[in-house]
Amino acid sequence: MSAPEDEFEFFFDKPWSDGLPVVPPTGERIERMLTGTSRSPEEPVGEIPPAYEAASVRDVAVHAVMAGCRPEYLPAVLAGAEAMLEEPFNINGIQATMHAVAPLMILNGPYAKEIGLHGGLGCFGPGFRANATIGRAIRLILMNLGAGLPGITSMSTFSQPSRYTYCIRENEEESPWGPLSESLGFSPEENVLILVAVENPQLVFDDVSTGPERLFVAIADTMAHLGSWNNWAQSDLVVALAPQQAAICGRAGLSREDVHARLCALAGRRLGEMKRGGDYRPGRIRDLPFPVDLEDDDFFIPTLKDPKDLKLIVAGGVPGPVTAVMHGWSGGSRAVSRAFTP
Amino acid sequence: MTGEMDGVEFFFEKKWSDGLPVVVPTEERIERMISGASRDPVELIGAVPPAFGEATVRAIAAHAVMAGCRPEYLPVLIAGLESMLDERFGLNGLQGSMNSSAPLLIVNGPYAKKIGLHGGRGCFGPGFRANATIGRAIRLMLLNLGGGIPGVVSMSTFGQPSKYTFCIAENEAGSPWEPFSVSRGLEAGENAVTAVACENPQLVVDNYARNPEQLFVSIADTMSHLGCWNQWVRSDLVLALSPQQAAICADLSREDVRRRLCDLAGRRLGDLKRAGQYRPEWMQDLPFEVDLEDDDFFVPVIKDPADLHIIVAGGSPGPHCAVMHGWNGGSRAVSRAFTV
Repeated sequence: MSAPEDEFEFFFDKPWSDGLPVVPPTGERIERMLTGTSRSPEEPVGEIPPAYEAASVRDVAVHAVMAGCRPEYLPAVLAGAEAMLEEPFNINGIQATMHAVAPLMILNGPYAKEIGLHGGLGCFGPGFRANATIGRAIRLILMNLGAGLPGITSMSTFSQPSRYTYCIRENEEESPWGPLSESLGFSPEENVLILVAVENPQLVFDDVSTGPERLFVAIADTMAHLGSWNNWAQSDLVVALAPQQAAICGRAGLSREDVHARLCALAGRRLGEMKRGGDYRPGRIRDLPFPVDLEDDDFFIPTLKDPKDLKLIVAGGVPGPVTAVMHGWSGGSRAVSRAFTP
Repeated sequence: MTGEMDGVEFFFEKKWSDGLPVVVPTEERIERMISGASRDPVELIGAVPPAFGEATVRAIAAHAVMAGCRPEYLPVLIAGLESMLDERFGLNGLQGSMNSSAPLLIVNGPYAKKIGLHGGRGCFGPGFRANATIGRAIRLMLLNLGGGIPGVVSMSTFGQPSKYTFCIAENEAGSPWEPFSVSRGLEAGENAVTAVACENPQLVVDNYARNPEQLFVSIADTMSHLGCWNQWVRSDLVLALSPQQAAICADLSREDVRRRLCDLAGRRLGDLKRAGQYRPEWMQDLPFEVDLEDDDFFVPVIKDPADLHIIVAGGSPGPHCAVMHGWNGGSRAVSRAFTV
């Protein structure tokens, strides 16, 4: 590092930079970050594929500093790093794929609210430090310890903006239902992270519908477009209802499970439409976890091959007649969820 | 700013922070940034709505420093902002909208390549400083000079990840066609930026199609899902073909592909009537006649073919397209040439 070099330039020159400025991880800042957890700095967290560099609590803290986290965010970053290393999530495949999915972190429980993680108006966009920096710390770990670098191990054709950062909490306060974590078997007081590999949010706008059945038409239609992997293979899918849209369901007396079941029943395509183009192959349809009559062009193929792959949440602000649909990835990644202690 | 406070923390405390660390904009760094463009630092480029903070060359340079730009990125940033301040772009409405659309900058010409602005593999994601920081400098100006702060001015229900940064080059080397900017009426070889308000990229996966007609089925289907605004009113739409998918279309011109997709992408009126957002008066406002009694009437998703912007981007191999739907508020894409 030559004398006139700016301290920020030093990190930009690293091949693993995400392209944005990092906070230089000085010893003092790392120590301060480590005060955010009671865990030992030397405790191993895991090895990040495909480079399989070992990540200790201290290594995670270093990346949290660089990303811009406050110390109190560290438990969320640690939970994210541990969740993505669970085998069903298949982070190795996600790192390499030509597809563009990114790990979306959804947090439930009191801790997320305490640290200012945002689930309301604008939660998928800039302006919220916890959201921006927790998600970014995960990405820096994937790039630096995992070597998930574009063109080197990441073959993602386009990548996607949510690979910079992708972390929200559920808007529990404005939901007519209990938290998503509760529907997955956790207690509502627990701090829980749900991690799911999905595409960017795409919007479904509807400021006319007053009843759920009409509201569901455009949501189901968007879930079922022929470009997504969900059509062709078992994949996860996240639907985020804004509070205004969730309230339409709540007022009609629908539970989260009712909405979940109804969307799984409505979203899908007739076999004949699928045969016309896109990624259709008879072999793929035969591999689905239910029998399909390949001679029957009217056969209805649900977008969600297994209903448990749909994660239905409430997020975003009021007012807002909007739903966000996030499609999944084909490569055998399953959402994981885990309770954690801050 | 107390003695205890970290220099970086100072900027996190600002209401207009995007939530990520900034490079501290010292005088020295701002001067160095200004050296990247041969413009007078006091020159006023425009006022950024709705707060109408003045974007002088110097103010733009200060935001470029904070975002992490190199000085040589400054000409692109100035041109990008100039495009967005063009009345046709409708920036004021975009800043306040409940929708989530963000200004995507698409750059053509030799300068993009020279500064390392990336249009190849992974171009919409992290890892490329020019892409990351030019797009971010735009966002910081929208927040700080324009006041487009969530919950204050911006009523975007969800926001979207591409509001952090959204800037790419066209992959001209991987394209069978003339540069996108040429299709927009600019000269070949000219440096040009196009600003277009759109949603995040959504992928169309197809590693099976061997001819354009097959390929267009899932692209047209994704373009015309019932959630998007393009369905209901005139809106822009960006379609990025990867080089592999563009090569499938190489016997067609860009204009052929555009015309064909405009013909294919759309829905029958009966489908539209089922959807929540349907209003008969919107159909009557379209720039073509719709027979409201005929449920088989085909309503194209692109109301005016000029609003479909086809670019080549991404890496090879890669059997993907990316569809970016538009915003309803009367925003039109704006292209302009720039000098460096």
